[in-house]
Amino acid sequence: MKKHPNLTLAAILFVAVAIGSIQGQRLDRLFEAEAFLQWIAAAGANERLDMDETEATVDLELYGQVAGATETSFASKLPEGSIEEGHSALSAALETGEYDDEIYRMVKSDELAPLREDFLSKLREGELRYTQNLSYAAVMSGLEGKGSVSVFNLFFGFRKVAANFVWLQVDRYWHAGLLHRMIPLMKTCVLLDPNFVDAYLLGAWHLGYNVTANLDYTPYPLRQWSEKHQACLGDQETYYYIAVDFLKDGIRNNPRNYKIYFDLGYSMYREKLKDPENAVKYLTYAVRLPHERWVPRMLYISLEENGQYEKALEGWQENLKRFENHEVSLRFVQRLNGLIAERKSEEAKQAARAASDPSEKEAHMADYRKYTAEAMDIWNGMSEPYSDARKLRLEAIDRADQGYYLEAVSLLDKARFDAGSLFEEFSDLIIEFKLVGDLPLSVSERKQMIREEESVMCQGMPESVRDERLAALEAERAVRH
Amino acid sequence: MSVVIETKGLSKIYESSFRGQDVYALKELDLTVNSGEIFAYLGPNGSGKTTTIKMLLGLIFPTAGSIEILGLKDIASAKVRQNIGYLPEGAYYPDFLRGEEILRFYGQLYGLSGKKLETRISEVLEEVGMTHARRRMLRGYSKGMRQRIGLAQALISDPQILILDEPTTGLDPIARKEMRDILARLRDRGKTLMISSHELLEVELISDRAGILYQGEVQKIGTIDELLTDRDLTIEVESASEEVLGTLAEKGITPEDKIEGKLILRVPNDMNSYDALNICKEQQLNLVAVAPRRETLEELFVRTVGEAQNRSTT
Amino acid sequence: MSAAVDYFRGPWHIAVFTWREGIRKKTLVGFLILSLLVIFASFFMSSFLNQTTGGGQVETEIDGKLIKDICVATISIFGMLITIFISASVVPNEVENKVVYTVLSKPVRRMQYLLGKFLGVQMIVLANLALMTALFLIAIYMRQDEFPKLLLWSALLTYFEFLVVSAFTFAISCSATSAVLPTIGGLFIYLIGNLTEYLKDVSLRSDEADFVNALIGNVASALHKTLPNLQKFSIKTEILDLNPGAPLPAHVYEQIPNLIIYGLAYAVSGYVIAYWVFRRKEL
Repeated sequence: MKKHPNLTLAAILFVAVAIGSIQGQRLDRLFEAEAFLQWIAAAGANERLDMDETEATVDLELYGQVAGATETSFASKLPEGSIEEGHSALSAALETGEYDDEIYRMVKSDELAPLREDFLSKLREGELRYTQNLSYAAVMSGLEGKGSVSVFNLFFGFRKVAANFVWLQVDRYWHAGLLHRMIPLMKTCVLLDPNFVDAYLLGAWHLGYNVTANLDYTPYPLRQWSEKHQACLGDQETYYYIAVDFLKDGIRNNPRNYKIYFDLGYSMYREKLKDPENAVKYLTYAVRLPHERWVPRMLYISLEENGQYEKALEGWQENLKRFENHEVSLRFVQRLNGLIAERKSEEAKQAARAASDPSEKEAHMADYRKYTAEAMDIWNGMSEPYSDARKLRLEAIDRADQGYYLEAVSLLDKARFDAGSLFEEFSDLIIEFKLVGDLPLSVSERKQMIREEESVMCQGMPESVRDERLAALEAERAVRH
Repeated sequence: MSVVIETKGLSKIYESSFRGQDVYALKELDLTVNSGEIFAYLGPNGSGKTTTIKMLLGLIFPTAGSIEILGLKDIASAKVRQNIGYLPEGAYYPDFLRGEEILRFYGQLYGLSGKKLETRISEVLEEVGMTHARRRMLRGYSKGMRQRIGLAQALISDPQILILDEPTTGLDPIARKEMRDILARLRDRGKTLMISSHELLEVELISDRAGILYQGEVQKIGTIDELLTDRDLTIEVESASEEVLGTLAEKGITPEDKIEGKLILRVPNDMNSYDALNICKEQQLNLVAVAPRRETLEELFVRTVGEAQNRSTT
Repeated sequence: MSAAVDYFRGPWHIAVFTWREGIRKKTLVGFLILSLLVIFASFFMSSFLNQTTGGGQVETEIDGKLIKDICVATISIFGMLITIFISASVVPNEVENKVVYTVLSKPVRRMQYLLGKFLGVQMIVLANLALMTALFLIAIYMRQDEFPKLLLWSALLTYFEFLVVSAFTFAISCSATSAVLPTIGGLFIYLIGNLTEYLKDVSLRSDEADFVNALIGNVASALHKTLPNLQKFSIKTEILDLNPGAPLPAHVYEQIPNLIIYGLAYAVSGYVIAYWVFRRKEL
């Protein structure tokens, strides 16, 4: 150093900068791998939940390639039955955190290098959609396309704070009743901070509940067909599905947070869209993640509504094991036993009707009587409006079987007002009995029938879909009547 | 007497960045400071005194020439630095520190520690007369006390050489006297002091040798006695009118001072004393006294610098 | 070994001296008080949110998130300001008040002096960061009854970000005569450090066919690879969103030590530049 100090210092500086540069590039590779991992998590959640963004074709295609490349590695590791049909082993592995480290190692490996490069180039070109959560992508220009500046850079990493302050404004608009100003701000919030889970939850609540409270019901003939959602959308439904899409984005960006799955399943699909099948689907994923104790109970309720009585019963029994003498669980266990018995009796009756052999018919009828009695016993064992109503239903069915349709209708009429949750089911049954018994329908009943027919079609619906739905409605009516 | 500081051909050129002229802060300075003396390093502002001192301390670097301190060329070496104490002009020390804490810090830089350091702190404080204020914070110190603490930090390692930049500037007469006494005591103990000062009267009282610098060049250097030879004569007279004074002035005899109504006349060196007396007698002046007058360091300084200025302009 | 101890004795004492002087600076104390006030005030930020349901006030997790995000941003901003201010002022102030003459006239090499000053600066920066982080920890613990371990990782990475800016600001200060230019320089370094990522955009979007464009692209690429990029430390905010109960994910676990080495490498670069400037500086 004493002889050639400048040279020595220059050398040290060069070495230090070189180390810094090498580390910088190493970090870039790590960030790229992390970005790839985060994108895979989002795409994996998308596949696992069949959220099927038809606009995200590039994402889906690339994910397919990644899943294909990793299929053998994970298929052997995962327990039997954990991979759903049509889904990849990768998306199953992504569900919990158990395989995260391994997925990361794979994502970083030379094996997946070509796909990783492909991902990066597509990312830079702005072709990918599931990139909102990418912290690394946030500093690249690819998100908004060529020639634009990434908005995240402007905050020098303070975008989360910015998101919070935008949220304060959302809150102000909400309390001022300026709902439509809220919506773009909510989207800005999650753009700035994709991990802002409450923004997704409250945003969806605003969209699905508060905005639609001001909107009227749209008759089916005035609704528009949505190819994306395969549904007829009126004013309210449009916002329901905006909320659904919003929550789905939230799931992609936060695939391990149960709350978004819960809100999507329960608040949107069950409460608003009356779609118990999807409600069950998302609630099922919610309970696989760390969750609050009441989340599984909502799943069991949805299972019941979806007609999956046995699974619901299993769930409530499981709940009872964990929380002994839990009153609600006890009630639901009884209820589901009753519903299972009722369904078995219905099946037995159908079987008896379909049977040609008299002995077979008799056997089925014996089953019918047995299960009906079983159901009755269960309802007698419970003393609440629900069980009373169900008892009346059984009696009404019995009356109807004997040809006393008027009596059946009057029993059901009483029952449907005693137990409000069964109003729709019993009203449908009333219509059924009136049609079979050739009794006059009331105005509201006739309107109901017209609405049913109208609901199979709307503006812009493809003819094939309309025909399919009409055929399904007719088949259903044939069974019922 | 051995030489403790020696510079040979020491130069410092500040190159101008554009087309301006280079500034020659020091021009081939040959300087020696001997062991056990107080050397006064004098010069007007901008003459190169501070430049020299900074080069001796390694704070700035010479353009040419060499420096040897204690016979060593490597002035940054521990042996040299261990033996130099420096008191800069107007140095600031943190207000919140106590006197002994300042000394402790500087002592630690010298590698002192523990009991040895504490003993040395006490000794040094005793030496500069600051024992009574050792635990007081510096913000409670007067200027004189700060200067003494400054001297104390320069003494902490018991160095052989002390370089002091304006040690008495801003001090009241009593404080200045005390400082002079301290410096003289240090010299008597065998230390070498190099003092840069504008307080020429102070310096004259304690210095052994002096050097006068102007525009980076030594104009005069030597012992005080060598530099301040007896020169003029003074004649004290009762009084003189303006007319008489004018006549005397034509002959080279100038009024110097008036003390208690009596006029002091100065006779130039080249005039014979008797001739001067005769001239006064001719003017019928009443003589009071005749005395030789030694030039002060200040007068020497002003004269030397003036001569140098004249040379540089012609 | 004893030679090493002897060598570092001087820098250590200078560091302690710098620390003692630095923590008393009014500007520093002002910044610290401001940051503590903001952290404290974040508790009340949530009152701006009137989460109502069923007619009553409901506290959602947004309150906790608001506090956390504001605290992290406060620590980043004020911590950086303190870092820049301290790094910019230690050397110029000592040159101005001539303390540097009294120190360098002692058996202290310029390298030792500078090392001591730099270490002193880091001690002040660390202490400030530790204090703000401790207050943040207490705030979160009181609010959410959980000890945010992840915050400690975040604070560690924040320190290394500060270290990089500190080193280069320190380097500028070694050439300056007052603290003003280095302070501005430090802010500039922070700005540039966050915008370095843009150079990657430039290089990616340069048109290879055009000579000038390609040249600009290559230069941008070279600069992007060479200059320190503070955006790389952005993981310090993202780490707080992870599950506190679970161990750190593999990718985070791998990034942290690499970031530390990255920070250290550039800190050394900055320090070397500082020494290079100061080594023959005429004082």
